[in-house]
Amino acid sequence: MAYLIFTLSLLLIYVGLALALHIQFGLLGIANFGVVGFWGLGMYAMGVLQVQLDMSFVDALFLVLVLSIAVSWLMGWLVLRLDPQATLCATIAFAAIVSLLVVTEKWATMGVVGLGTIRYPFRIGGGTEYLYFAFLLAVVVGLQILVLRLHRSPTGKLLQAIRDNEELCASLGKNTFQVKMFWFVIASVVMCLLGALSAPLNQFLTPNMIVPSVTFAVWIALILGGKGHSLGAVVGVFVTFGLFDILIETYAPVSPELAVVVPNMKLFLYGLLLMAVLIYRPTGLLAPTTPPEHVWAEIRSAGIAAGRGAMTLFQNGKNAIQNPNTNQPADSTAAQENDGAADGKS
Amino acid sequence: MSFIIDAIFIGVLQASPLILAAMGFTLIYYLNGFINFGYGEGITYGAYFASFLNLSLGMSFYLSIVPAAMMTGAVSVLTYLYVFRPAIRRGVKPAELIILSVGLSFVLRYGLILMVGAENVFLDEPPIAFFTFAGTGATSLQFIALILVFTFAFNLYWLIYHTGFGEKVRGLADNPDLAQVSGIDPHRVSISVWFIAGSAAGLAGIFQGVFALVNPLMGWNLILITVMVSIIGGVGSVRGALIAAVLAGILTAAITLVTKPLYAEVALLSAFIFILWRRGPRMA
Repeated sequence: MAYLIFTLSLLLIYVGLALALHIQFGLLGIANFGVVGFWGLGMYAMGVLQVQLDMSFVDALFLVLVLSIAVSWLMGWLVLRLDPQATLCATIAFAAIVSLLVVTEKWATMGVVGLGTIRYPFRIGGGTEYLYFAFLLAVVVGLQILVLRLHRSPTGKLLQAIRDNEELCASLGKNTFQVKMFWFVIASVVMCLLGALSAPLNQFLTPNMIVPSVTFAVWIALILGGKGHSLGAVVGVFVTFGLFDILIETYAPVSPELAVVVPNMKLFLYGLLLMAVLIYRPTGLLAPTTPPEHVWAEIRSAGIAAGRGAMTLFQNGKNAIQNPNTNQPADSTAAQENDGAADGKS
Repeated sequence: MSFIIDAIFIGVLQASPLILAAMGFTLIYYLNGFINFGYGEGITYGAYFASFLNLSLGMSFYLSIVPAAMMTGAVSVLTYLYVFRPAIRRGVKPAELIILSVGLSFVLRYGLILMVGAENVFLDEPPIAFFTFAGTGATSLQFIALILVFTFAFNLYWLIYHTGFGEKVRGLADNPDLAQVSGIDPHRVSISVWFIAGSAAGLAGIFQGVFALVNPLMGWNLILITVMVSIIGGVGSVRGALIAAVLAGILTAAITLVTKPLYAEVALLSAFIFILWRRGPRMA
């Protein structure tokens, strides 16, 4: 049971990471392939501050927040003006730098020996893990509500518009770089803080936790669930992490010799799944939707406009019949229609 | 002065796999316009094919080089035919093609681990002669690797810049529509390019494997620096990739001589991010 609660907590961390990535990639189109860099930075910063400097959880969390804002801002400044492929490479390089520094800076991180033990922020007998799980649940639910609200808000529409056509948004007077920067930093800080929150969960940190497969797991979850849908991140994490790491690794009757193969099998299948989704269903399981009321409003306004147009034509026609001297408007409309038809043919 | 000679010498020797990998990678990037992370697995597969021929079939190491490289080329062509070509035809955009290629690299890497296991493999090296040259030492194996690398590099260079085939490749990369109207078959040219690039990756893997050891993560460890070197060298410039790879090797060797090898990697990666930032929205 203790192991299950640990895995469920980790699932929540992944949901949070996928939600942050949804803001970056799904809404803004920033291909951040350095998820594990931000997450690992937050986790190790928390570990170092707590173990080496003996700080309290809240103080350390505050310092991680400050550090993550600085790092995310610097990364945003470096990568956000780049071509999407260059952004992807630069963020991968960032994650690689973080994982290398964790190994080299032994005075702080203890290198490959590992860093521990990181305490929970509170201790209430046997229920600590459960309370911490509830705390993580509250954080992730809050994040999901934020994303849902963002989708409905004008800001969400602006982010999607920047993703689809940045030049157009800039020409309409939006400072697109500033908007991208703001939301990139918010999402990256969320990743760092989720890392800080997973430090007590893991208790003992080693450099082999900061591996590209973490980034990859978050990406596959988001792409599979639906990168443009507000619930895609949750669905994707449940289908990938929930299915493999909880159902199969916890409940499937696997013999010890097969158990060694399962993690490799998992990453193999993740890769296959990702390829299939990208080729055959690029939107993921949940296709991005426009809220129904919004669609109806559009249809209604289009209907009203069509009706008004018909009325005007009708009025013009009636005027033309009633007094033939002033039939100029009807003629010009007809001429324009002829022009249009000619254009269509050519 | 001896420090500079050491750095150049060690750098060029160590960089020989990187030179091959970067030149092959840049060809695919040039022709198809996306970064193929699956290319890194070509490096791993080359080393494993060589280890199969060398250890399981008992061939001599030197004899196994060419068949292993060609087998890797064939794998590369298969990934093009069954993964990337269908995806491009279905209109998958470059940014998503990269993610697709990362997915492919996971499939290839963990598929390999499922088949042969994740243990380190050591190639059966031929007897090594050690000799000194201009004050620094090197093994016969390193010299042969270096000669092969530069032969391959100059042949590739000649192929791209001085033959009809190279003209077709450059034509297709610069203006696919015009090239097709002029009667160039994009399908055949692409298959040749993916084969050449895959073979280059395979050769890189064989030398990387014989210099150190063979394991399933070797390609992933080398692909990031390969991508970096190719982008810095200029998209599609085989010449640029060659120069950038040699410079990266020398720089790594120089930093390694002063501090730890891992700091050299950190410095290179930081330099890479900085160069990308300096270039701005322009990729090449």
